[in-house]
Amino acid sequence: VAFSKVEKVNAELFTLTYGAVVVQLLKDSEDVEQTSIQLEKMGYNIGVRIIDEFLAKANAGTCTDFKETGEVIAKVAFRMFLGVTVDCRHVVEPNAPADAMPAFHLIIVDNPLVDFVELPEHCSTLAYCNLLCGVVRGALEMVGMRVETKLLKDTLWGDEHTEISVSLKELVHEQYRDDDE
Amino acid sequence: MASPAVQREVAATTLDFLLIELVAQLAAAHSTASTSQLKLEAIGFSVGQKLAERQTTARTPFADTLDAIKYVCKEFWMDTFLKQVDNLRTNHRGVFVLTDNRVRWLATLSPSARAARDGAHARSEALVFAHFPCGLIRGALAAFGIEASVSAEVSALPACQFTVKVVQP
Repeated sequence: VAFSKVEKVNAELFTLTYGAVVVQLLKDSEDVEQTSIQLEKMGYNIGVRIIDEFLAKANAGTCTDFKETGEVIAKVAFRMFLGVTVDCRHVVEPNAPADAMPAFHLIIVDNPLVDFVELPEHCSTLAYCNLLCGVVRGALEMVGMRVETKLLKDTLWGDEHTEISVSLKELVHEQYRDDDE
Repeated sequence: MASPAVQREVAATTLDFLLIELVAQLAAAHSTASTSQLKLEAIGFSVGQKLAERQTTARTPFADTLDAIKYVCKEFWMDTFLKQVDNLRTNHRGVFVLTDNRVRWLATLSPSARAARDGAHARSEALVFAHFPCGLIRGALAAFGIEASVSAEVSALPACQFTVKVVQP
């Protein structure tokens, strides 16, 4: 697995750093909603960069469809960066039209982000793990998939696991142009 | 939470990406460089303090300041950066100089176009990132009841010197 090859750090250092970042954002904006949005934005910026690292090191090959993309994110990408494997569940809306855009849910049971974390009452609606949504959105956008991500469930909200929905909105085809013209 | 038998790890690059984004975010949110650096240092401080507390719960108290500093150079650094501090010097009057020949965040730093032309500028850009480990050291020492000020100096990238000045009680 790719994770065994990469240089690693103590997960506590990462978890505590992320926690301190969230606290800092909350202090600066004094608004739970704004902080959730800001976390997603930070994640997006990270995703835009992290995709290069992933493509360079993971040897993942090309995905044939969106379903496979979900599997690769769950089984390879999360493992490579956070050291955990994630479940990918494909969702098919009942009575959806035949040309409906595909979607999947990422189910994170063992989420390193939420170690030692508890949301105080006045922040109970904070999407603490929104960073992950942003990372997935940013990374996929760089490989031509515009997606919408949403944090559906979170252990910090009392759910059993963290769950992120990823639904495809548009496939962006790269435009090539001749330099000569 | 019970500490797991196997030390949990994440890829070092994951932390790098978070830190890069954090520096950019702080720079965008605060108009002056000194404010954003203070915030970065403060984040490092809170992380360092918590980490050191967790790592030393089952340990006998340190005999003196030097003992605590040595712990920071060896075990604490090992746990956080997977290596030890390369050199430790002291004047035996409360000033300690820790030299790390390869600080992760400084080693992988890609200088901006301006910095590429100008070595001094590259060092000042690197110094921004060094505020995080400065905070980590200050936080760890605070967890051991030692009040200190920590500053960083980058003479030749990616090496970094941390000067710890202990506030005498």
